Amino acid sequence: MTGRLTITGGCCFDDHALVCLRQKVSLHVPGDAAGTDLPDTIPDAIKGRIRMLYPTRPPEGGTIRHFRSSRLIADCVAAAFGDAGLQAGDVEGSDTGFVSGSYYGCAEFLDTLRESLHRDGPRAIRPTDFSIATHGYPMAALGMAYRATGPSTAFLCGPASVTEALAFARTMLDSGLTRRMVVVGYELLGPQTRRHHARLSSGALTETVACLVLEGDRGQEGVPLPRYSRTVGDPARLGAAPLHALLSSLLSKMVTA
Amino acid sequence: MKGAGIVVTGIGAACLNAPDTPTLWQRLLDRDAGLKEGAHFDTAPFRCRRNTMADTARIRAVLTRRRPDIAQALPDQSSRALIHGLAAATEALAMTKALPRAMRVGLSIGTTSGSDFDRFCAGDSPDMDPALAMPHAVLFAMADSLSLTGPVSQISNACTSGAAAIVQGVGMLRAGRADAVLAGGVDQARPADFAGFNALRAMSPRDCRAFDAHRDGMIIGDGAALLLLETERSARARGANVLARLDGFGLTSDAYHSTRPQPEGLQRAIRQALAMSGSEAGAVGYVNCHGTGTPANDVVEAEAIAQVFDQPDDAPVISSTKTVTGHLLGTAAAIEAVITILALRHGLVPPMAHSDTPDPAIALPMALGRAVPLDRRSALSTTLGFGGSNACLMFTLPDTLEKVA
Repeated sequence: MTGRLTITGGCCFDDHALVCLRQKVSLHVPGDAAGTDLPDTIPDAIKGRIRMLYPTRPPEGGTIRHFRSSRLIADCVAAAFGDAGLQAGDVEGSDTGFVSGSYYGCAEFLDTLRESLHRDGPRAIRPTDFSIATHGYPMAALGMAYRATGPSTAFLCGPASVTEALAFARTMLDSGLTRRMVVVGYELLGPQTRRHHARLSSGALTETVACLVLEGDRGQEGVPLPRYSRTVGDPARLGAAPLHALLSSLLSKMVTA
Repeated sequence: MKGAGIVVTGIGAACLNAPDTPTLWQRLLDRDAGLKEGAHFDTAPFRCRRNTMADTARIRAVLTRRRPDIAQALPDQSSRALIHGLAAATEALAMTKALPRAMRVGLSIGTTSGSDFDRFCAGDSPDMDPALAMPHAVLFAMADSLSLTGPVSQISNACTSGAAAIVQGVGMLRAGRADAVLAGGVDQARPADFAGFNALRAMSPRDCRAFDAHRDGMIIGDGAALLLLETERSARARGANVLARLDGFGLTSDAYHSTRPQPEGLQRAIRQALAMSGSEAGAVGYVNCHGTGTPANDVVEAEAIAQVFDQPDDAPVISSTKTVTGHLLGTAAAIEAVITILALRHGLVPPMAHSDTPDPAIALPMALGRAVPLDRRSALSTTLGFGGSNACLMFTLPDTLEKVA
């Protein structure tokens, strides 16, 4: 029932560092990273490295409308697919699904809707904005980009978010509903979420996006998924912490070995 | 293994005019939607105002009678969703034999925005404890109030949240992480939901007429609904009364458009659930549909169902109980799962309210005007959500049925 799962690719970045698992990449951009934010797209130094390693990007346009979180997540997933040796066409169809975990989800984008409503009333809400104002939208947008029709959902359960997302991925794979699950952990904050977090904690935040490609044991080469229940990581990364810690630790072991 | 190996041993619900499942069932039979225009926020600025948002004070009173220890310990600032969720949970737990203290009971809920984060951001409650505004605050508060010792999980994936949360509960049991799981939906509607659905022109100014030729949109509401899930082995070992088996589930994506569903995705989800159950399509007598009452949803959903049940003798009766309950957002799939189980146990498909003139483009039999006998042992609950997500849950009566009184 609970077969062996392998990580066939993974990527993680914040504003100063990039980790890619299978390619054994660990890139650090000089500078003080503590408490910093990601810009609207991947930082240039990291972007350049990703493009060099993984030139394939997911198709855009059509029905996909990105906001900051969904774009950064899409970039991270594109790099993880590249890390796994997958082209965009390889993940089309029902064999690939997506799941995310975070504390605040897309609260950053929802902030803008909320502010519009508060300031200008109901008529300020545009239907196109409301239709993508769900925490699950970044995963749905990935499905649209790759035409991947497997399961897609989003977890918002604080420190349990990524653990539950990984457990969901396992359930999907064990049940045979799909063959590959992309698990994303991220934390990207807007002004309101940042204000809220500041009321709760004096600690700095490091915006981070991390993802791994998880597959059943079907002859794929990959890194066995370790026990993840104790993988907590740097609390400043909130929902992205467990995957960031997992990928960094695995890469460190691989490089050392 | 045939079927998911999971059974339902308790159900609970709390929504407008129905703080428990017996009242909910009666409302369905009476086609009593009880629509109102007021809410816990000012609805005056909105084009369409009619809604089915829960009467939280009434639900709290029921919770207080049922579990005064829990109700009296709640902080003054408790969110509406927390009260809805605790009412549904305590009903589900009271329905089964007392759970042994050593049992690890998990909690898996679906919600859209079931916390008070909006209230915090709006600055309406300057003294508000920021911890109570965290997106996962209701989840952990429910687990604390109920003294649950199993894993906790919260999904926020638009309208399919409740169904995915039930599937997550199944995963907790299968992986041995929990001995029982309360799984379903807990939600509270916000001004942003009213504004957004109005902007999409998806809300009806009068009522929800799902599958009707004259349908013009949905009615929004909120509330909670939870199922107590266990493995069949666990339920048998402790002699619990099994209400239904959860025999199969399906989860898929359209990968097409945020708000324009496609029949292929739901069709695959239904086929996944049927395949997991090991049953033929002819075993299914009823499909409790997502049935929002919007022109686009209903015709696509009916098309997907018709494609799966393509033999004349197989066609199940369809209905949308949103015509009575309204669309309860993250709770929608969960309350419809509860109603599907009630329908199986009563052997009746409750009639739709307001829907009296079936859309001629939809050929499936519908429950119109009066309840329809349900003599097959399995039923489905289907759900579609923003982003093109689809879900299907399949329930079957246990072999040894204990009828509802």
